[in-house]
Amino acid sequence: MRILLLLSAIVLSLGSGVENTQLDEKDTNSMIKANYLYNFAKLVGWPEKKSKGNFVIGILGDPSLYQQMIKRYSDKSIGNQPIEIVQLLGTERLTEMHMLFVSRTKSGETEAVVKETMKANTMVVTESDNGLSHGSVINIVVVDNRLKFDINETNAGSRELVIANTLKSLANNLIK
Amino acid sequence: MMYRVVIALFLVSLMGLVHGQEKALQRTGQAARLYQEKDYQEAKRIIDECVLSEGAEDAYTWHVRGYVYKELLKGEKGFSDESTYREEAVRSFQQCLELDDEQKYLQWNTNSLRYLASTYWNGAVMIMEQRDRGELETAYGYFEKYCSIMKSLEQTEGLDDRKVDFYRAFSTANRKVIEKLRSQKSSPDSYKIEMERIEKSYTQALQLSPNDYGANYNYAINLYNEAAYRIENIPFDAPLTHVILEQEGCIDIFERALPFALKAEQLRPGRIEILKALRAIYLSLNNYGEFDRYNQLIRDKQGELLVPKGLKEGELNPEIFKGSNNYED
Repeated sequence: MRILLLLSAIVLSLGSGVENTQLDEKDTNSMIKANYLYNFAKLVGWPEKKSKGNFVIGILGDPSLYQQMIKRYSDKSIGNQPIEIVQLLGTERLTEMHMLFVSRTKSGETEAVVKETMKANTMVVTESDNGLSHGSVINIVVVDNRLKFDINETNAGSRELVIANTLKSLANNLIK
Repeated sequence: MMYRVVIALFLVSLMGLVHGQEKALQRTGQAARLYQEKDYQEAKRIIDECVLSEGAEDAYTWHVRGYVYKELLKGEKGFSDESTYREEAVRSFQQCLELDDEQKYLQWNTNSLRYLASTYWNGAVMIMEQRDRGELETAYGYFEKYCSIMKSLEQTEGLDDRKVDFYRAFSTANRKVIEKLRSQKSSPDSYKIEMERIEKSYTQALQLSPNDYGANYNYAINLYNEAAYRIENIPFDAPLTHVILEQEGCIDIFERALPFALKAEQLRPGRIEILKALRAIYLSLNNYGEFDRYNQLIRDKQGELLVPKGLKEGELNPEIFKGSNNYED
């Protein structure tokens, strides 16, 4: 206190007290999408033949989302099926997938992917303007800067997938 | 030392004045003598009685009281919030200024009040540098007292600049507390007060200086970092309703950050740090068009190769890294 009072003839400078804030850049878009995919997996029922082995989630494009999925969910399970996350480079292993995410930049491949996976009961999730019309089950959309999702129940039914009411109730658009 | 000698001489001269007064304030004179003899506690006892009776309207009595309390303040050990010495010294000098119609004590009061104001300012600076979480509110209180005294002296030249400096430093001190808590994976609720202080400080700084690049930039980044941290800390198994609600709150924060980041860019166009901030904000707002645009601006400026965090170039098919949206084409 004495030192402070003696110093008070001199007004201390704040120069060193002001520091620029460092940007802690994060791909929050991928973080939200990863959480969505996990919830989709929990809130959809697959036919019996898909209830054994790993629960395989494929990511076509979007390596940042793949990273988030690996970081958050690679050691988790859906029911008693351990999650396996696969970064796809093309159309390999498509029929193994329980869920397949087709990124915006790979949207041109949606139709082909949908056709390829029809009999494999794969739930295709897209994020393109015409994803649902091309046959995907869930399409992630941007509404007022927020990530939301539309569901096509017919497309789900054709793959013998059962969408939980909770998921349907939270959809931005539900197409029956 | 020199300062004390001058004060002593001044008080001796004033004592003569007391003797000359028609209705002498004997107790004030007695307190002044005790002050000279450095018996400040006894001087305090007498002068406190005096201001409650015959000295209540006497400028000199309040003046002496100010000096007595100022000396008591100097004698304090440690930095005690309990102490009222400084506040009483300020009150006494201000009261004297009000009663001193002939402005006999003007210069002395002004100098003393400036000195006391400086102790408040310096106290605030020292607390902020120590970054003691529990004391930051005290620092803000000291700063407000500093401003209040300077305003009462009508010495407001440069005060707004000083306020902006303080608000920015106060935000920095609070941010450091938050960063420490975040490094311990603390919940955002645990540092709600600090976040509110940051927001309040930058709002005040920008009201005074809307074109301050640092305030605009830092405010935007503080908001961005907060929302990004919240999203990153959504539990992996959070139910969808929780994710949606958390996203809602965070998008609001990103939306609030955007105008300040844009203003910063307008103030210093092309600066790499603000281009990166805008890229991050637009990605979080899921505005891929603007994300791509800023991504390209950064590339043009830096030739920067964008690789997702945690990955090294070449770990995946190189084709993946050519893009823009979500760090890919």
